[in-house]
Amino acid sequence: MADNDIALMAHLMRRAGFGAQYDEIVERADRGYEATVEELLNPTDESHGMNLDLAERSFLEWNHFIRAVPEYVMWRMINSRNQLEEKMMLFWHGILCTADSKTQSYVTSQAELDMLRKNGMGNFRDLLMEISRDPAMIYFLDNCLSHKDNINENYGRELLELFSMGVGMDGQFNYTEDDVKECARAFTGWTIGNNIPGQPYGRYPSQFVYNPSDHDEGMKTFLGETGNFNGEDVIDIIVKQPATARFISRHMYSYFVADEGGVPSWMETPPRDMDTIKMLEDVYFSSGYDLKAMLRALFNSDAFKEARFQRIKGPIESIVSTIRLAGDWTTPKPGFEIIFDEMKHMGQEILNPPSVEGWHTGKEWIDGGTLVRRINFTADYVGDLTQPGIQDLVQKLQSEGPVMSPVNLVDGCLRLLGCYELEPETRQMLINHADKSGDLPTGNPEFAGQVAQMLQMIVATKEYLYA
Amino acid sequence: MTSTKKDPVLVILQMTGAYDALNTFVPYGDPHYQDYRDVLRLSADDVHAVDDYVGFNPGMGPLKELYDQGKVAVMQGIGYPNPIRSHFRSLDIWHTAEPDKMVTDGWLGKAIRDLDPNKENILTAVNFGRGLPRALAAPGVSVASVGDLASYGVLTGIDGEEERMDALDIFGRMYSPMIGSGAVNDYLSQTGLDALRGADILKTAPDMYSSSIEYGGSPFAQWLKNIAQVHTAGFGTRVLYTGVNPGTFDTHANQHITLPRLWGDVTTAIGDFYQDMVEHNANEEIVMVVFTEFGRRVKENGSGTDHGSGGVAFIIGDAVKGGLYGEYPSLEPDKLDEGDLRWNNDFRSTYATLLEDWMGLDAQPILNGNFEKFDFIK
Amino acid sequence: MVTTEIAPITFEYSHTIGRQENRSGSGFFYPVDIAVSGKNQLSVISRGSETPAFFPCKRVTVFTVDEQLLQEFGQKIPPEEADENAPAGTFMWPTALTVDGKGNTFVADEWLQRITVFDKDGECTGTWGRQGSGEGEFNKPSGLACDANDDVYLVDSYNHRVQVYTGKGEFKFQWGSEGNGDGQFSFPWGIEIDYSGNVWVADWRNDRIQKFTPDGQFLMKFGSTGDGDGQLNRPTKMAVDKDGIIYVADFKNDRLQVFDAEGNFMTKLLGEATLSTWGRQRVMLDATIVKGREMAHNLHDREKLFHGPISVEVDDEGRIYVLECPRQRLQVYHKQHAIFGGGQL
Repeated sequence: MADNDIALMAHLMRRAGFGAQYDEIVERADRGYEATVEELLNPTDESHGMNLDLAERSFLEWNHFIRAVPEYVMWRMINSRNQLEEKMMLFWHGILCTADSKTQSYVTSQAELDMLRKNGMGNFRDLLMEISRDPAMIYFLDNCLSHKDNINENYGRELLELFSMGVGMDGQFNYTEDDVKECARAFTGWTIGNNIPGQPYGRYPSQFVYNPSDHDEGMKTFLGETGNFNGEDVIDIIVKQPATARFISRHMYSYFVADEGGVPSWMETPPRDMDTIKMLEDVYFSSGYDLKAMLRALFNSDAFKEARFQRIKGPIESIVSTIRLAGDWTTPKPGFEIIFDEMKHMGQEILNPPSVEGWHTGKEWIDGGTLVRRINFTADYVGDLTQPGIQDLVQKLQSEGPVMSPVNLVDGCLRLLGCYELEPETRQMLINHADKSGDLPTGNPEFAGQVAQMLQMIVATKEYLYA
Repeated sequence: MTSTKKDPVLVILQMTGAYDALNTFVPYGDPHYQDYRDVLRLSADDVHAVDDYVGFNPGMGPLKELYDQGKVAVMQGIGYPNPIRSHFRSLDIWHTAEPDKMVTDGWLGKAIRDLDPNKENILTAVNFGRGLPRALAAPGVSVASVGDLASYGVLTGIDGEEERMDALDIFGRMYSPMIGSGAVNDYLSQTGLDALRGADILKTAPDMYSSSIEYGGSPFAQWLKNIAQVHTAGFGTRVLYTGVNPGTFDTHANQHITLPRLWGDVTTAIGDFYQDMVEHNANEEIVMVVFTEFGRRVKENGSGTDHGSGGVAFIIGDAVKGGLYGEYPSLEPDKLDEGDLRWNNDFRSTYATLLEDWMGLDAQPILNGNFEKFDFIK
Repeated sequence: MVTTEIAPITFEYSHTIGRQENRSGSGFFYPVDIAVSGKNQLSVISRGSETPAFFPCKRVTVFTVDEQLLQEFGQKIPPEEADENAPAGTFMWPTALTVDGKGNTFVADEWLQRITVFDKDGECTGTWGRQGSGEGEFNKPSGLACDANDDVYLVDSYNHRVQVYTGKGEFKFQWGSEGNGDGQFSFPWGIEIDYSGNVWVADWRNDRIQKFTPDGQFLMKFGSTGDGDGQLNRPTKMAVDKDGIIYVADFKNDRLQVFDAEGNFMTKLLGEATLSTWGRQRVMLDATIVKGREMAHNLHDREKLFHGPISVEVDDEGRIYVLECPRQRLQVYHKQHAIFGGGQL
């Protein structure tokens, strides 16, 4: 197995998933890069090796999901073998945003997240149809308050601005205020039923209702086309816009390849890699809006393969990948609150994006407070020699020989963390630091602690902030 | 501002969980109150009476003492348009000062930017607690968020004092902007070095501090002690934030026992903090704000109260003109709003007063509007 | 000659008991097991939630069939303190309870790996048991039943076996191993001792029910994986009445299935829940809930259905109690006989 194949697989698993332990990286690299891409794109096993039924026995709040939905999301992200499905759920959850702080119904949010898992790698038209019928979204963006004689533009506007086209591209606006109004008119009557109150027996999932008597049957002119449009027609018009192809491609690029900067800047700022964006746009149209085809093209592109360590990890990526590396949370136990505290400290609470614009990504994840939390959380985990993943990592280094040089300690740790790369100066500092103890006998009882400390130093680097 | 006058400091105390306004600042003289609250009602004998209509909860003795000294402004009927009964969303609204739409920037985050536009002091604001409240968040604003001052810092998990010092030394060098390139790298380097420096400075505070005050053992009391330590250390911190853990005041059941106990803990800590500031001759520099996300239902549910609206907040300090502000919301059945107290003064008026008359900032751009001010600052 | 044939047994819905009560008082919070603890008297153990504000949350609730709250005991412990030093009377992940002939309540906790005993006044009198796979040790106890001698039958779920103890926790004997053969188990859950002393086990991951003699000899089994009549999806508990009729909590199929004594499918119940007395008291406190219920679409059709039926119990009067974990309630049914029971024409 060539080192580069392993490094490439580590890169794929960091981006298309939440990282993987070294053995899994090697095993997948053995099966081949394209085979792994296909496996990630085509989940087959329902429970993905997660023992969901046994886990639910411990987490009984997952029965009908009236509570404990964030716990369920964490469990899946940590334990699902089909990592890309969860990664795409998180991708869309950050774009097609709803926040529990307003919706206050986990059972309804759960239905939404399941829909995102099911459609996240499907057809983009279907996804827009489903999100337009999604009760949490209808409530979150007030489409249930939009009536034929008194429209509420909130959903109509965000569907265009944040969910599909974006305000503008190449310096031009993509739609007008009239288009927003006409879009909102087309979605009148897309509403939700009056739900059963949460007392005395707990909440029930909210249900989509189409009310034809509250739908505006008048003629509408939307993006230059005229007709008695309903929501489906508007979505059909939206998905064929070049702006939509651009918007989705840039989001995918920013999530999987390299930070593209804030969405509001996209109208004026061109993509950092126009060739790759054009390639994605072409696949978007040639495949009939098939997200899976776009992802396949992206992961198999040189642009993706070469873009190592160019994205700052988000807090959830950071937390989940650390837990997966340590091999923690593979069996049910109490204490999810601690993880949610960390997510909050680091600025990304699942089910609670700060606004409909989603989380601000890239360097905006990092400030003094969040940086300290992230470094300490990660360092505490990799320094915890009771964690099976860390024990395994120590044993792998021990098996390399009776004595380990400072250079080999640093490089070995970097490799087992997922083929991390450091700036030469940083690497040299760590080698110098390790050199204070000289060559390390790997059989000594102190060896594990020395490895742990090196891991702690590596995860504290600037370079480790990236994936 | 003369050179002898110290900079004004704001201490925000967030009472998460939504304390029951009716049994916090109690309209015990109102016959309707006695009707609504069969189990939970408090009488003249129970409360610390302010007059023959209202009084403080039995647990709030220390706050009543400060009130009697004219140092507490009671903001009655405080709230916001279209009250929401979700803890999270309602806190968001208090944090962002934006009731109508969801935004990311906090009102204090923007205030901190105005206080220190050139980012000269990395400790302009310090939070104590679990997680940074959105009130302090704004792009480009760095706020130190401290769980425990004694153990705060970077790489606290490294075993051994010497090893950790070594590690921090390397950390400082690894975050040099000279390593790596580009604007993002510069930003990350600066942030890392600021965090390291901030922690270095903050951890000197406990050693510089001495006081005769013995704070209680609750996290809130300990965080107030941390605030005292940071303030008296003279780091130039202008905004200090802490509170009680989520859900603390969410008294759906057994409220007659829990509420006086909670207020006892909280107001004792506030009283201790005030005395501590007097001891350090710093009492004139500090204004405290006590608030919660919403009020609770007028009608009790058996032994507790459910989520409602219409609240009460307290502004405390030597610079405060003590007394009652706003109006106590009417308890007449037909003046209730779906069984809730009707708010009558927008919380942003209180914010505007604090920002302009205490902190000396322009409130309009921070609050995104003009709000009539109160005159509770001397 | 005119004859009218009726089904030999039918079930009449009686009423619903419970409501969501995430701290304490008249209701439950994620109830996981039920026991008949006296005449017209029931006990329920709530598994509760980790959310710190909910306290005591995890507790045993004792109440009458007509919804009088009699007693509560036990409380939660925060996860960071949930270890072998957890004080007696605290719960982390309670799974089951049973009440012996003297009125002692036994509660199994699969995180603390111990059985907690309370006397009839609700005073905690101690704990017993420890984690392991040796004789008398267990790994995640998940079902409890007392026989006529007040011996305790315990489902040792992660060791895939049944163990029998005295009420003081002295080990007597055991049977079972992992597998899907007769007398083997896959993560078994609930256990029941019928009126003749035979032992029934919900063989959870094998989607079947097995019957044993009191000393653990295999007698019969029924059930297979699926959602058709007589098929099961992770059955959690069964109860057997005086006539030998078997009631199975078909957890993931959201239904109660009824089998005859030979294990033949008879009928299934999907739920008839209505507003309980406690539920009504809660609703009446809040005008917005009253209004919300009036406005809600398909309220009765949605609200009546079983969600996560996790335990079932029968009493001597022919009543069947079905406990629903996520809906914080239990539904009460009466068995109706075709045999004339006397009385007026």
